[in-house]
Amino acid sequence: MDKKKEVNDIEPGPDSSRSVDRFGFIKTEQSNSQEGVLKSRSTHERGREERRIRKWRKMIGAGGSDWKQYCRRNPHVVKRRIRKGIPDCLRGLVWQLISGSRDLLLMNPGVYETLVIYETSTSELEIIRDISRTFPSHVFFQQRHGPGQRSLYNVLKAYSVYDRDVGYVQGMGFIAGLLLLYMSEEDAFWLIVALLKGAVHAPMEGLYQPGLPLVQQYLFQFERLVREHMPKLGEHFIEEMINPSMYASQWFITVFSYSFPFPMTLRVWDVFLYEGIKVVFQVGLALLRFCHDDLVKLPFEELLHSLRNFPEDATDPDKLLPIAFSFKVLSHLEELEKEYRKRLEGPNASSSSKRLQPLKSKSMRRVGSQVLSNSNVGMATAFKAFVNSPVGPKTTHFWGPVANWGFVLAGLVDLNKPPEMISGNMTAAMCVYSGLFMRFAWMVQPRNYLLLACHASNETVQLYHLSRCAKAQGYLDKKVPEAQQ
Amino acid sequence: MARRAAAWEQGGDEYDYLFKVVLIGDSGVGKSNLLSRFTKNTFSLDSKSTIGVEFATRTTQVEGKTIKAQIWDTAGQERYRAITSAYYRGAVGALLVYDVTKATTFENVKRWLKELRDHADANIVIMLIGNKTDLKHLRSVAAEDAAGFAEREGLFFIETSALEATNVDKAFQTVLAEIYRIVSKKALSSSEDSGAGVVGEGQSIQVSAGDPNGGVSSRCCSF
Ligand SMILES: Nc1nc2c(ncn2[C@@H]2O[C@H](COP(=O)(O)OP(=O)(O)OP(=O)(O)O)[C@@H](O)[C@H]2O)c(=O)[nH]1
Ligand SMILES: [Mg+2]
Repeated sequence: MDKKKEVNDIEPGPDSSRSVDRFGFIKTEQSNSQEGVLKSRSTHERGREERRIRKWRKMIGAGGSDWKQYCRRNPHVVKRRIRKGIPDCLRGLVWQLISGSRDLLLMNPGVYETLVIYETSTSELEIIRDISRTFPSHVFFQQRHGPGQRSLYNVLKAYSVYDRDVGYVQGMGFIAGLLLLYMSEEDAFWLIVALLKGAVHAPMEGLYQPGLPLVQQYLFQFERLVREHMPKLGEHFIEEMINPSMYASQWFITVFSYSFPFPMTLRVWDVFLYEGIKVVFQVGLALLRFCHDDLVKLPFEELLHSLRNFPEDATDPDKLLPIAFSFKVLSHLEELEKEYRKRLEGPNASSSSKRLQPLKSKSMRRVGSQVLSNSNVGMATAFKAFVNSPVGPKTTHFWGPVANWGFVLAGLVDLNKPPEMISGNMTAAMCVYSGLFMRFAWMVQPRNYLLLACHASNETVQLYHLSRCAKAQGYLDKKVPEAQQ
Repeated sequence: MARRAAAWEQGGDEYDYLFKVVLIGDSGVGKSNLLSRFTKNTFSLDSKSTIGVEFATRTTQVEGKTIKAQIWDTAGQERYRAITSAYYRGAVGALLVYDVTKATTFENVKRWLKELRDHADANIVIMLIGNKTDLKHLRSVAAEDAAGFAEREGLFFIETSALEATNVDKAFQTVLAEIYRIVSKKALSSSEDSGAGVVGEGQSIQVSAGDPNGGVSSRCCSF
């Protein structure tokens, strides 16, 4: 598309007379009233907020440098503070720290850019079609071909190339959109990778893989949890033939980012990123518990309507989250997962096997070992899998990190050059650079042996060059004549 | 299920027949907007894509009878069929929508028909709908082609614009009337209980609590 056309295509930006709420959504009548409440917050509250931010800043340190140590030492404090809500100004950074995406980003320099620029995806048209249908009421995403829509496209396209098995699935856009309000494209991309490939928690890619296997598992688990924790409502659902796929699919597929008030979405995400998918179950249960007494009285249609339109009260995070945390679901979720798998493998599995792909086990592959240490892969049997894997040589993930070896190669080629041609400063800089990366590769969790090996080799080559260079300039020779004398 | 009927009657919501209808077709063809136009008379230029299924109802009159249409709007993206195809079962009508400005959405109609044949009841009433006729200058599927196809496949056919509210009511009404015609003929020709997919007086069809295999089975319930 030529520039001129693009300029013409741009619709007039959001009407300045239309005001937005503090998250950037165009205000409706309803949210006006909410804003009124926010504005009237007392100075006392504002002071408390400032103290809270100071505490958080101390906890994370400059650019997140102290975070890991703090988490290791005071896990309970961290958990408690996250449950109270991450200060909005630090949210983007903290989300990257707790999701493990920050590490992924640092380990894979240049990969995102390559995915965006050089790769093509079969999902491109599908993505474009949905761009203007994602957060259409937010100023950032409103403008056609504006920066918001462009980043949204880039992130989704990059992911669809990165994981061609998943590609693009409707619903991912809302997650990407939410993240883009708090971080850069590249950061958002790696956060999605961290979630779907399981950097910290169990991988969630099954939510989007063909057959939507994880959606089906989660819905099964959720239905059983409802029966367990709210037997009367569970019974009522059975009588009215209400199935969780009628109301809860989007809770899981978009982690409450599709149709809930934004303040609630944010607070759920704070906790979800730190504590994992169980939070989605807890919040779902809390919504039902909050409206329990009404829901049990309603017949099918009204019931379904209520399950898709919760009252404002119920979506107030300060009311909802305490109820959510009161549900203890973790061990039960594990049992239910086992039960679900057993059923899949059971006698009627054959009829459904086409629809339901086997789930990857939690422990099978974590993103760390997948993306970061290619050196672990490559043994004869694993080789084919590797070649075709999302990090294999057919993809840029392989070439991205491998590009670092380029330094080493260049260094080795330089061995043939006369020492006078070697820049002492450059070589010294390379030594420091590789030294830093060696330290990084060693310290990072999980340890990246490929990167370490690469920079260790580079360090060796460069140190050799440095010595050649030094020798040529006579630093090392001095002593020789002295000794000869 | 006398109890359920009573509860609905209390809400002033009486009807003679309840028909379950599904809206299917590629993503972005305008299913959700056709539904909102029919049930709420609203339209939105930038509507969110449907995730999973949505649900709405409207009560109308057909030949003096009160018909309640219970309409399931499904996500159009292929990946979502894993969830949505369960909703075809027990449906007595289907609105199969394509976009007159996008030829691929019309080409995919064959695939959607196959989906229906695989998952829905054999005697389901199907209406092929070419939506977005307001975009005249962008049209890429000729009405004659679609009409010819519909005739060969034994489908009803109509072109609509959810934006301009053209033919939307007519599309739904035609399907409901045809279902009613089949139901009442059946009731005349045999005293037996109505067969699968056809709902008798005061009866309702709903999707039941599903089993973990993703199958959501339909169930007829009568007094
Ligand atoms: N011009 C025009 N645009 C329409 C019409 N109907 C729908 N649209 C637009 O087409 C886009 C998609 O409409 P939806 O109703 O959300 O499409 P859908 O079929 O429900 O899509 P999925 O939920 O993704 O399967 C929206 O931007 C609508 O505004 C129409 O009759 N005319
Ligand atoms: Mg829709």
